[in-house]
Amino acid sequence: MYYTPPIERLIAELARLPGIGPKSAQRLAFHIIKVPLQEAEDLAQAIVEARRKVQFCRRCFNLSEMELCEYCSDSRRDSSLVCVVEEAKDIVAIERTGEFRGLYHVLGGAISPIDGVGPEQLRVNELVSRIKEDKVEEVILATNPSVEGEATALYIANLIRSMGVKATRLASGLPVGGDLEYADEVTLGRALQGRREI
Amino acid sequence: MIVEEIKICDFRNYVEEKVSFKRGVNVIYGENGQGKTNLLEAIFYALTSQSFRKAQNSDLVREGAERGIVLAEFKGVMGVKRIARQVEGDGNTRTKVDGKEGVYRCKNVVCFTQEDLLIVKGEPQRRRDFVDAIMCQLDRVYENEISRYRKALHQRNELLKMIRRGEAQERELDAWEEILAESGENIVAGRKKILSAIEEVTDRLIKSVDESDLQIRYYPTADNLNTLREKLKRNRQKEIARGLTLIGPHRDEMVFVLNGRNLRTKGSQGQQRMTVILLKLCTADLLERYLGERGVVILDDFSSELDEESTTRIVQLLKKEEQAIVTTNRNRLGDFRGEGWFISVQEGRVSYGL
Repeated sequence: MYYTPPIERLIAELARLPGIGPKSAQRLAFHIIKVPLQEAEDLAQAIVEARRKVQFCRRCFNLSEMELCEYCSDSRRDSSLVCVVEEAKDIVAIERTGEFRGLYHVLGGAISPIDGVGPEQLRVNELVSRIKEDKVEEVILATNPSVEGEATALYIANLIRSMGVKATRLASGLPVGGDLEYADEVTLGRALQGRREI
Repeated sequence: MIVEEIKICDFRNYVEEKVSFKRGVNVIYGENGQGKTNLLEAIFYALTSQSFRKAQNSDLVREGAERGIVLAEFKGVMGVKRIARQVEGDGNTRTKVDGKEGVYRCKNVVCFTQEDLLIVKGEPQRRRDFVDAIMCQLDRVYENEISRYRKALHQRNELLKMIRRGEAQERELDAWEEILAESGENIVAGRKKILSAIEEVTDRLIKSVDESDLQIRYYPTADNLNTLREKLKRNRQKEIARGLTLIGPHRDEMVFVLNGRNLRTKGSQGQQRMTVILLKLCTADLLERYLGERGVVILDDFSSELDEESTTRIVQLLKKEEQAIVTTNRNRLGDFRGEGWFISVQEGRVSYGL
């Protein structure tokens, strides 16, 4: 042991966070030691409060302070339309568009056998029973455009099509406001493949 | 594009040396083990940040030195560029482009080493890699497709093993097979396109050296989305037992046919070597069409095993290049008939002339 035990412990706890290695943990720990006591207490309290108060929404698995999240409890939203995302943070991105008035479903990741993640490890069964119970008419698959996200979307699409529910996928295409000549070849190629009649 | 000068410091067997090159054919000669290939490697490394040998970065640093440095000055349509690369003993690297810290990878360089003979002599994988590497340079969409296919293949193989162990269900394969079939179709189409271009250009080059005739035959395991999807589905049980995907572009074969005979099994050493060198010159042609400028051609010891006549013919072709930099043993110098810029290498020191 190199440091006094409380610091050692703080470093060890910080190093367990994702994206934080031993060096960063050390830097953060020494920063925390140097700040006014009040600031350190605020941080500790914020961590505990967030952890205590935030839970998964019982219907869509978004993060929420209540049993039902703000979207699921909003009666003005269209419950026949469900947008499926990998993580809760993706909801924020879609909400920012202001274009979507349906509900969400958070899978908790994407299918990836090499990481030991299959449909059983995701909230796929919950989605299926929700579709049956809530009379869902269309499911928008908004998983990431990675290979794993694509496979997840295809897997779910096969599953719900057999239930007679419409499955759609987000289009991939050009960023708005950019010049065509600056678009990268892969994006432009995809946009060409997915072109529409006007 | 022309490499005009390189400076090397503590790189391989070189302590400190400055070497200038000329337009046209540059011949690096000397006895074995003097540093001919090391000099080529320094040029290639300066341009691409990679070695053409299976070398770790730390192998490039001269034994006993802390770090190696290569500086290259070359001239192309975009003007003069200076690349400096530094390799530390622990393998860390730094690059400066025209004096500023940055990243640089020149695409416009074609290199032949003994290892490349495996394109003709070796397993099908070598031919696929050769063709894919060219296509990836010419087409970013193809490059993306290859990486997508590899990822999906890796995932499907893992899933096959999980199904074998009873940890996953067979219907989970559908999604991966859909991606493999779609991506596989694009890869096969891309390979057909590039192979017909390679065949055309290389056949023309071969006809300019002798009366031979080259064909490239491509045998995809499945050549469209539907066949690939069906074959994958039909072979599932076998593949679950093996834990491996056995069908798809990663199993395709390409055969070089010289004068009606399979070059891999029936060609002579000389024919094989000649064809690989011409395939490299063909690569330079295809890159030129895409990049709009002729690249540098680097050949390491191309003439061993080749008779004098074939060597002379290749030298004739090299003279048409904007710049070719080759190494040769002292006793094969006659092949060049005194035409070119001659660089003699002896124990990591350089001098010019014959």
